[in-house]
Amino acid sequence: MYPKPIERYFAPSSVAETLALRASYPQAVFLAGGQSLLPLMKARRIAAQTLIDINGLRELTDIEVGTDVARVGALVRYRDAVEHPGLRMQANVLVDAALSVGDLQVRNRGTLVGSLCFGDLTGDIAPAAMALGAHVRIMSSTQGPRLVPVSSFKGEGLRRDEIVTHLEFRITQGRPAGAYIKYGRVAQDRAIVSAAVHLVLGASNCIEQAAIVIGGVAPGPMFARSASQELIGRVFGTETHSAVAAAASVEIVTQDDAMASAIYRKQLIFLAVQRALQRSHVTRGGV
Amino acid sequence: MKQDVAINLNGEIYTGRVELRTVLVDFIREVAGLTGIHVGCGFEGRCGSCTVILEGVAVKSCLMLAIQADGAKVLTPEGLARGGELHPLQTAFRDHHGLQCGFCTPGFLMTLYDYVKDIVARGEVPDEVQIRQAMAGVLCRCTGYVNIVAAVRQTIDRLNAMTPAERQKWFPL
Repeated sequence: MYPKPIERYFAPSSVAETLALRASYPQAVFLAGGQSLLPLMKARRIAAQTLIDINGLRELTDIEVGTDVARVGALVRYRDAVEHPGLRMQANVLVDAALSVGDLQVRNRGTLVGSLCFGDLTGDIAPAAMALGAHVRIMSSTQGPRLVPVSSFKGEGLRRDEIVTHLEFRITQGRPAGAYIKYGRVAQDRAIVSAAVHLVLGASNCIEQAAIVIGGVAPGPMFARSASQELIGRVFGTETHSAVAAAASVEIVTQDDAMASAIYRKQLIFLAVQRALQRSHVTRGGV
Repeated sequence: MKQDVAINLNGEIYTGRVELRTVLVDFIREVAGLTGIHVGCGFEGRCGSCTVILEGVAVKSCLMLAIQADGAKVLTPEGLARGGELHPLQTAFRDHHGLQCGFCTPGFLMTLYDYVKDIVARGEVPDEVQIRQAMAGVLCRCTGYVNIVAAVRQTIDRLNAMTPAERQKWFPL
């Protein structure tokens, strides 16, 4: 199908201008990469009478990896993330997740922050960002910026005068390792189940922090806390992947839907966690 | 609501007054009359036959509004050949018979343009799995992809054998 008629289209060049427009048109829809929005507009599940195209916000196109914090601007596309060595070093889980989205063309347009704002429960970026303990940075025309953990962020919870400008996470002391594994019906499809693993290694490769997040489950990505706990204090490389994967499979509640049965999802959680732990080693190996 | 849109397609500026909701593929096919790219899936972003190069990267032109490309440089299959000589990708598709009905071919050519440009610049030699992953965004219902993979390999080899200047000629965007 074709989108419903669009009455107004704005292409602001600064965040300030964008917020002013948003205040004037509270029902306006933000357009970033458009790879999820355009199909929904065509299916007429979203009618965007007023579109604010934020692709001209140059100030939001950067990936900054500092000493304490890393920030990914709202217009950073999946491909930019995949090709950023500094981000891969600190957050391989996020880079893996970006690479697992759609196809080359979609990764050339789609944005990481857009995926979070869209809030699809099968999205790849939210589980990876949660494993990193990441936040979204929200700017407002009237108040200072606020940070919301990705785990509690819902795109529709934005106030009328707000926009998400960045995804950000703290850089912890120690060596990071991590990976993201997804099972879809076909390669690079939406997740039936996915596993995001992020670890921080201390002295003698001891695992000091561990986060495992499972995606593709309802009502949204979930922390596998018991499984993560199994990893703490182990020496990286000696942990038992199958025991951790089994713990995750037991603790996460799964659902039946058109994509897969609950019991099948349990099986996939086991495999996804196991493979994500293995991949954490492979990707860490070269560093 | 209508608006004037001007897009540089293959080095030529095309202008038209279109509805805001007009998607880029319709501007290219209906307004500019360049029908090299196709619409296979009905604008859902699944088939990839409408892929174009926008400012250097492959995008599905059914997943963008024409207005978003206002002032941009876009390359379509019509712009691949140079001075009467086929692009190395086109030559390779012909050599290996990388098509049967040909409907999806423009999508492959434009997607692979982005891919081989990047791969050759980085000096990488991809394996078959990597090549197949790179073209996951274009569907072919005839070939089974085998001959297309062979065409990609030949293209990369030929491009690697060129001088940087020769190679540059084939990648205007």
